[in-house]
Amino acid sequence: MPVNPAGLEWVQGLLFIVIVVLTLILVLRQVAEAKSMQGQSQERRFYTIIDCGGKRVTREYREGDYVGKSVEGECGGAAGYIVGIYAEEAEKPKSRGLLR
Amino acid sequence: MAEQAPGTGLADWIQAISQLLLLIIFIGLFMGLNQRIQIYMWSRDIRAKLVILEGMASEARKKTLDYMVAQGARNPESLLSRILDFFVIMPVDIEPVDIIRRLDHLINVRRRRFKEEFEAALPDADPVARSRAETAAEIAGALNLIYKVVRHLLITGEKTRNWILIMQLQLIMPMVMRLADTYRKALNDFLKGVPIGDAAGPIVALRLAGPNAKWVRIDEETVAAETDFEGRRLVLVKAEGPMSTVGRPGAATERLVKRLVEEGRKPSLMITVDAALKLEGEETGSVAEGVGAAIGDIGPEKIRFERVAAEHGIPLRAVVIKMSMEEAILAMNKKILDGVEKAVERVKDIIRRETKPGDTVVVIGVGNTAGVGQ
Repeated sequence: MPVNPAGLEWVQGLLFIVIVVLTLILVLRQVAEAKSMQGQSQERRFYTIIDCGGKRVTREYREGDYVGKSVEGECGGAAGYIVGIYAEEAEKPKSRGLLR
Repeated sequence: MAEQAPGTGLADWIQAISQLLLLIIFIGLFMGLNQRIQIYMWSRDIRAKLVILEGMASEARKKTLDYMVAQGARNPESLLSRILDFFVIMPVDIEPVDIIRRLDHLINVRRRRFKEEFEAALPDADPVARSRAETAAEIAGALNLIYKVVRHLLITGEKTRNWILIMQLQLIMPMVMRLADTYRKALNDFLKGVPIGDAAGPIVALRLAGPNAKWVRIDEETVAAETDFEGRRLVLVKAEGPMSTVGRPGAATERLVKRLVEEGRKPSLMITVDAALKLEGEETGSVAEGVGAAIGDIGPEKIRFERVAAEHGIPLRAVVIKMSMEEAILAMNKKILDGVEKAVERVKDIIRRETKPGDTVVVIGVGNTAGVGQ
């Protein structure tokens, strides 16, 4: 009496779906990895620290600032000088899935 | 006679084809098919990343060109094409007798060549802008080299079917991509003119000198100033900013110490301050002290510190501010700036402990002075 394979057809279909889904996940993962390396850099902000006669004041960086530069009019009339310039990263945007 | 159920003919075909495919795959595995599939997948992944590397190299080249054009450069395309592929051949090392002199000579020739090329291309630009263009060209050159080396290894591996080479390349690709991305970000920071992590040493020297110090050029792109600290005479040395340069701290210090000795003011102590690579797990901005010349030079400058200290019997101490490689070439962050403050205090402690009032101390702030003036 021949075995009726009709009852096992769903296994082949299931296997096919599993392979397609796995392939899709691998491709999407590679796309996401490539996207993340394409320079989606975080925005950074730059700050300048000024020494006003012992008191330190921080403001946004301006073009032309450099450490050691004397600055006028930023210490309430008194002279000051720049003691530091640093960068701070903005908050990371929340991840919205594999494609982002 | 039993009849076949409808649709079972197709199922039989699918089953037969599946079994045939499985047999082919099984035989293929014995004949190295798995290896070929693996090489194909790795190669495809490396190629995808190569496209990104090429993009980074092109972007860097374009940004450098745009900056040079904005500064009124003459024939920037021609200059950049030559600079991107510029090379230095290391001296013969099987004969080590005068290797330092030969290496120093080659490095000086390269430095002078770059300077003259950029002076000719940017005659109307100020030295700061010219130095930024030079550094930007070097970064563009580095990105170009990374792209070409990865491409070379991939093509070599494919041509020779060397799966080990391709596997090794695939395994190091995350590190290579990270390095390339760091260079890409660093280019923006250098063009902006902000201090980078490597400027920690010069900022320590600047902080010790104080805002009223008079800085004098003592060597090529290197300056020095004198000040007093708790009865000691401090002589500070650093590169001349806010140009993007590391100066010649070794040659300058050698000349300076010889002059001080002739004047009867032999230094009692020499302290070099520099950025140092931290180990993973270490805190950025942490400070450590030690003995020796803290300088990331390949030989000629470092040996001058060592020789002048040994010749005159001057203790040579080192203070380092720890950071990662990325942090060293990107814009300085707050942790490193805090580390600078700690390093200043550490240097002061060393001076208090190891010298007495009336002594002369030479402190050298080693590093790039982009965004750090005097």
